[in-house]
Amino acid sequence: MITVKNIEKTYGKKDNVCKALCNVSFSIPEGSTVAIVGKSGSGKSTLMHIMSGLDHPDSGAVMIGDQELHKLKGRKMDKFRSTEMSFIFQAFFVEANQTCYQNVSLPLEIAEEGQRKMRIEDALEQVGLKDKIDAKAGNLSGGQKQRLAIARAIVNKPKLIFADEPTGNLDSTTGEMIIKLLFKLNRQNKNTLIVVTHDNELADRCQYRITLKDGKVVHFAENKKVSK
Amino acid sequence: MKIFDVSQRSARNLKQAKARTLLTAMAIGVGAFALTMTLAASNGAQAYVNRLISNNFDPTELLVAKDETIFGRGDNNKPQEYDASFGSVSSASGAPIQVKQVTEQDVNKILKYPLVEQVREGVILNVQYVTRPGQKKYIANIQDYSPARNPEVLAGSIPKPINDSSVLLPEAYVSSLGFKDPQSAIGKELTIAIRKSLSSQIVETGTAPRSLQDAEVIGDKSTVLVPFKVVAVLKSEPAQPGTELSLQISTQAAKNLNDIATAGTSQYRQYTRVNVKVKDGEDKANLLKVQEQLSKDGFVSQSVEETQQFLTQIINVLKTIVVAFGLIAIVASVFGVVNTMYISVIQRTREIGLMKALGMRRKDVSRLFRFEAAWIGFLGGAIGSGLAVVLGTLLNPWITNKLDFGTQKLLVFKANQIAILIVLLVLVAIFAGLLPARKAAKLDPIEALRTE
Repeated sequence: MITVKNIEKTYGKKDNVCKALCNVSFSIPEGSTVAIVGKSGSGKSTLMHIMSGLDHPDSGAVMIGDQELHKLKGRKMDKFRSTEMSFIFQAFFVEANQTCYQNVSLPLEIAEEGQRKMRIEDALEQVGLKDKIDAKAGNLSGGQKQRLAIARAIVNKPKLIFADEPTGNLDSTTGEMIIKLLFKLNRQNKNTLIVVTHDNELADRCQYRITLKDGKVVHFAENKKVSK
Repeated sequence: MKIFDVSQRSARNLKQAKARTLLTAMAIGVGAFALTMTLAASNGAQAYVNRLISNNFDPTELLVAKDETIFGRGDNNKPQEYDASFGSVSSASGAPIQVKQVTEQDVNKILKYPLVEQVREGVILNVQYVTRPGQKKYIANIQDYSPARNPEVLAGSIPKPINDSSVLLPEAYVSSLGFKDPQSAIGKELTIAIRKSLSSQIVETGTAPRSLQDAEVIGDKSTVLVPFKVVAVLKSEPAQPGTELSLQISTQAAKNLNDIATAGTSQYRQYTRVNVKVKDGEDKANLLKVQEQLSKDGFVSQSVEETQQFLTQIINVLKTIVVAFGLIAIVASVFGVVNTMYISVIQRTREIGLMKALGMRRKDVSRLFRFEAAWIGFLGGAIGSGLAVVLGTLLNPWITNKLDFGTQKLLVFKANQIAILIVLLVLVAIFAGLLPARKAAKLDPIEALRTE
């Protein structure tokens, strides 16, 4: 279970204070798909940053299993992130001058994990890019780049994948293909997928939908239509 | 992150900006080139000095003089109190200077030292001419043969000890004196003509020649002709400067000729310096004991080691000057590395954000950029030193020939020195990369990921 308890986050000082999150609480089971939706400035990204340990809440806690995330400091936090979490971004963030192999290798290098060749090939196969293993990432199309980013996100078999507007830079056909891939991999690998999105269609396909407005959870719903 | 992965990733990152990396490395390369050349030149000069010393000096001997000026010390710009031992010698600039000389009494005194085995007077004398029957007369000088010298013999052999009527002929005189080849000179007789001192001529003729023409008219009365037999022909040796036109004879024979040339003058049996052979002189303590005793008796002395140190000191001063220029180039290149690394950090802010989001530790981010700086340092060092070795190797024969170094090369490249230099340049580059690496390590991943 991933539990978010009474998260508060404020930016700025004195006269220029901005309440980014206000008493945010919810629980989601591990292995589920979750959409965090809301307008720009509603606190989606801040919530994702806090849930991933990139940012610290002013108060409240994030529990991932039995682990209270923000009690981890320094090296332990880095280790936890490198083994338990992964990210997919709207802008892909692949290294254009490096090969697909080298791009996917990054999380394994950071986590100092072995059997790299096998794991990288496996990840690339899962996203349908095995034949591009030695191709430069810069030569790939937008959809292929995002698939490469997904391969990089799944290669270390994380429990939690954060996807920040994963289809935002893609055309609708390619976006659809990426969404299908993400959900397929979620079912296959049984990791928790947390998607931050404006896209209602994408949110409708997730098991849970958390709607934020002005830093508050205004709607938390389980989508019973989506099979578990 | 493992060191190997960091190193590999940083090398790959540098490849992304090949031109920038290469230009920054070239800045370091200029310093590396200058330093490699300097080290090679000083190695060559040091080897030349060592060869000069081993070919000309016996390590069990001390050079002894009465005037510090001889060893480049002291100050002879002040008026000095006169005594009979003062004699005129040429200074380095060619001007005549007066120095105290070692007299025969001094030699006898030194010979009585318990640890002294032998005193050899150093004689260098310009003779009137050298010739042989049917050949032209050639100017020459004679030198006493030092057993410490180990010249290359082209023909004949050097007897031990050398006979008082034997001469070692430099190869330059072989064809001039009408010999077909060095071998044909062996066993042949030469005549060395010595002009008697003016005092001797006055004593013998009752008059002094007023001009050179007069001296020629007086002929036999002003000149002594001394026959010598050629026992060996010596190859010209760059490490024995001054011997190219010197006929070498035994110390006794040289002293006899010197006596003819200086009889009745203030230079008679006076020597600028003498060589003192010390019993068991391989033992430094014995050399020191004799030096102490010499110092007490008013002599100045210099061991071979000190001579070597003196020459090495000159090389080191020159080396320091060139090294300073090389270091200035490297200091300038440090700013280039800092600039390149800062640009790299700025350009890769989002990548740094991603790596930190994926759990890369600050230490590893910093290490990644330090490795990049290290690679630049390594590349600069390798390019600069490599170019120096290639250019130096190509130019070595020409430079060596120009400087008349003989078989000794001027530029001597040593792999270990180059390796140390490259390691030092890598460390300098890492130092230059510290601030940019720190900036990268401290980047907030959220801010970094937001960067456009």
